[in-house]
Amino acid sequence: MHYYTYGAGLINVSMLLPIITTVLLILAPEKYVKPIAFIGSFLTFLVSLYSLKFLDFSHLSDIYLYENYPIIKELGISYSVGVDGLSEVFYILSTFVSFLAIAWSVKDIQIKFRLKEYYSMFLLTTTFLIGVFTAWDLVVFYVFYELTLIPMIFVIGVWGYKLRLYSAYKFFIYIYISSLFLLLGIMALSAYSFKETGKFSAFYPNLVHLHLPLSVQIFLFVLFFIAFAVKTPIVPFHTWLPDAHGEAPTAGSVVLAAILLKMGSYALLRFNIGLFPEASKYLWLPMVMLGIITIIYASWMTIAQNNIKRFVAYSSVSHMGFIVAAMFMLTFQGFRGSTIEMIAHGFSSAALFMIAGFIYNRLHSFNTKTIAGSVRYMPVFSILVALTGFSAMGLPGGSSFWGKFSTIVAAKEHSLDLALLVLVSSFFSALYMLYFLRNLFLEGKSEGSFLAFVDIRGVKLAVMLALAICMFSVGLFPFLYYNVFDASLIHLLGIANMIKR
Amino acid sequence: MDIRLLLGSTNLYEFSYLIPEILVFFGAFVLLALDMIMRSSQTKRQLFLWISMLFLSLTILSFFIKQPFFRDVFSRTYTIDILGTFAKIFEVCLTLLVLPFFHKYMIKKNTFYYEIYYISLFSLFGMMTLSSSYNLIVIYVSLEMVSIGFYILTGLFRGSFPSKEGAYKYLIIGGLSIVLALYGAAFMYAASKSLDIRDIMSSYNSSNAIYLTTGMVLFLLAFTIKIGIVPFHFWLPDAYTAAPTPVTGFMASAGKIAFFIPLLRLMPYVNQHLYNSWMIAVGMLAALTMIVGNALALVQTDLKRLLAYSSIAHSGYILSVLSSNSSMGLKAAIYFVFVYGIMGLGAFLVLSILEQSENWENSIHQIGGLYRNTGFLSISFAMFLFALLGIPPTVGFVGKALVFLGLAMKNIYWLAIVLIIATAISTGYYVRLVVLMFMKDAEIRFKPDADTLENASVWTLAILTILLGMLPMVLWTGISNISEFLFKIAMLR
Repeated sequence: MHYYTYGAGLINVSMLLPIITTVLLILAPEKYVKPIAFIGSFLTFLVSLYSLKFLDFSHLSDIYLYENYPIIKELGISYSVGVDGLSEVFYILSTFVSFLAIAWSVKDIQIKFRLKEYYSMFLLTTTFLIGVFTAWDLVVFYVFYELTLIPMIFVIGVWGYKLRLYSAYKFFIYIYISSLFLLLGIMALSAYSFKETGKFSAFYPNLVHLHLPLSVQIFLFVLFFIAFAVKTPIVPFHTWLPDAHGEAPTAGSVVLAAILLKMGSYALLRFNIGLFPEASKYLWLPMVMLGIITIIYASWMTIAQNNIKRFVAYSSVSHMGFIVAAMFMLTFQGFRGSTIEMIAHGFSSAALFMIAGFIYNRLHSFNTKTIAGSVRYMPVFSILVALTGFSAMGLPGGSSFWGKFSTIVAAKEHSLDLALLVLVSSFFSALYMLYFLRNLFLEGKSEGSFLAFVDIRGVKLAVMLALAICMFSVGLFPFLYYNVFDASLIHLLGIANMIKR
Repeated sequence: MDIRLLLGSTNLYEFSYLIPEILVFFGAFVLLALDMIMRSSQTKRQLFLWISMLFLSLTILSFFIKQPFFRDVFSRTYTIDILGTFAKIFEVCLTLLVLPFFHKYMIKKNTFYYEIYYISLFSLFGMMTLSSSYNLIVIYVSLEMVSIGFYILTGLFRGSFPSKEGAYKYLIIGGLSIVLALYGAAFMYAASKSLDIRDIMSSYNSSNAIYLTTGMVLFLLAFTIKIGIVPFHFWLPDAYTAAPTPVTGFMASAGKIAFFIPLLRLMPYVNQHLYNSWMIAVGMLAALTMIVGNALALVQTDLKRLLAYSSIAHSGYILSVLSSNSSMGLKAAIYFVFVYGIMGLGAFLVLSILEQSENWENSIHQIGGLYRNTGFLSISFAMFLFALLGIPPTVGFVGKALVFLGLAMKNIYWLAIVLIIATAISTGYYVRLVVLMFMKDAEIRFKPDADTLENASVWTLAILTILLGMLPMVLWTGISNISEFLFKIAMLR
């Protein structure tokens, strides 16, 4: 693995930009708040796009834009950031979705008080997310991982819907407690590194080369897994998610579902599999089974919801099940399916939450009975809803297709039974999306009361269109994305000595 | 008569190492003398504040005189080293930050006594000597010195019943702990014919093991009572609630640092014969303290009491890493003790500003919507609470991470898991406060009136909470060196 410092500082710039914008926001008068936040987050997105220029697309498993400043030398803790192919994807995804969330909030009638705080929370989240996806030091990763919590509880607790206090409280407690296990895991790993090499280290590329015995690997794997399983979430640990996502304001749910969940799955892929390959090989089947249980259970729960936002939230859980199941197949196709599904879900869940938020803005209800059939009277919006729905369902050409396809291929590499199991569970996940579309299009009153609604337009239309384009770019041109992260995945497989193409 | 004869073999130049202590002591006497001659007035109050601040500032300046890395003075009864110096700097600085609060708080509560200034300085003097000695007699005397000051300060609201109750409880149980310390010291002396902890611990052999262990257990018990470790914690919530809030902050921050230092000094000398029993005993106490402290804090409705129980829980965190008998464990413990001083004091000081406003009863519901009343105080309070909880990038996070590292070094994972459970319990009450402050509407409307000095000290603590968390190497280098050194000389014996 090589480190390229060419262009170093760009990541810091993109992390500082939102902070500078926040300071400006606090100083500026109330009426300039929205434009400043909008421009600030757009600039951040542009900077993250600009980082593509510094990447060598033939060696994307190396670390680019690399910077390293020691924090505590003796403990091997350093502020080291950089991107490889895999991080680059999530780096851009997080700035992009944060920008869209802020753009959406500009016209969201739900957000009408404490604007300064609202936008600064989103901008800070952007900074912390960039930190999460670009950190190569486990302690720095943990710091940013934890920091994303703080703006999010305020977003949920202050601007959320009815049960916001309860949800914010629950969200914080679940994530914080589980991540303490991660902290213990990181510190224990550092201590093992000391016992083996005589030096403390929290630097990921160093830790990869440790030779830990299987029992230790399993112990550490479990410690890491608890944290990421709650964040991802995997089924027995998912109960915070419907509350948090259901009660957060639209933009909050968008950021939560599209990026914050990816932190968990990204970390599972990068850290659990990268650092503890033998434990992963040992535990792969239980993990895949957990993933499949997540898919099936969450799909059924989704169908049972009568609140459209909770419906979308549970559908996220089910998608995350695919991601986890694919990842722990431990084959190249599995990794690929998992990663492309993360990206696809980033776009489609954002769009679905925006749909829910838009309907709420018009009808002031999340109840599926009340809003049934409402979409029919807003032609442009209804097209967007249909596109999003079919794309998330996993129709060929839609965003989720390649993820599901690769998952099934990877499962077939292990056994036909597993492949059939994945196939059946993907049937369930298509089922709830059909329910969703039927509810919005075909049911409900046929005349009258909805006619007065104004169709989607302006900023919101632009945001939804951008998401739709992204979704179909995943579905139609998956190699655009594969080319960026494939090398990292192969490298990851190489670390784990399990290349089987 | 030759003064040299009087002082025996003492080298007079060795007093130059004691300049900080002497300054504090002198300052206390100046204030005591002034209190006798001056009549009570507004000027006198201001004068007392400024004089005590002047002396403490001088003390801080005196630390810039080059301090030795490690040196025994006065026939090895007194030790000047970086650990002691660090502790002293922290104690003096924290006291300096508390001082501005005494004046207005006591006026608001309609009880003003000038004692508060010089008695806290006397206590501070005791803390400073406690922080820098291996000698049992010096430790005993300074323990008394600190404690007597604390008893008086606790009972400063002479008219109120809870105050008397708290002070009385503290006096009785504190007295018990002093007796235990003395008893333990007697055993240790009998076992080893020495009063120096280093000699005592390295004189361990099979014939005196039983006396030595008994002495050590009693000595440990005395300190656990002073620190407020469960099951000897019953005095602490009462005393902390009874005392004027700035005094509570003083006791919980500077006092805690001072009480922990002898245990920190003892830790490297726990050799392999004693290690297992030490690990189990300290570990059990720590586990109990963390769980009970946090669980009791969870059900409190009084903010001050809640913080008192959280202080107990934090003693548990620090004690837990003392059970890992490694230099990493020592570093973690030292770091955590120091930073607890910062964040604990910060929380108590914010509370004491709030208490100065009308109709404030310290009830947990009154903090609802605090952000609407006072942005600055609520944000800094949230910062301290997050630090106490251990959210990065505050000092509390670094402390907790180091505790985990220290425990992992010796494979004491059961204690680490207990720590996680305890922190999980604590999440409940810290986050509830934050949620109440920022996400509710205000229960009562008020404007807290804090003067410049008070605001400045809350600011300082808040900035330190973040800054020392982001740049831990500021403290780390010194702590790391002295811990390695203490372990090395302990190994040599």
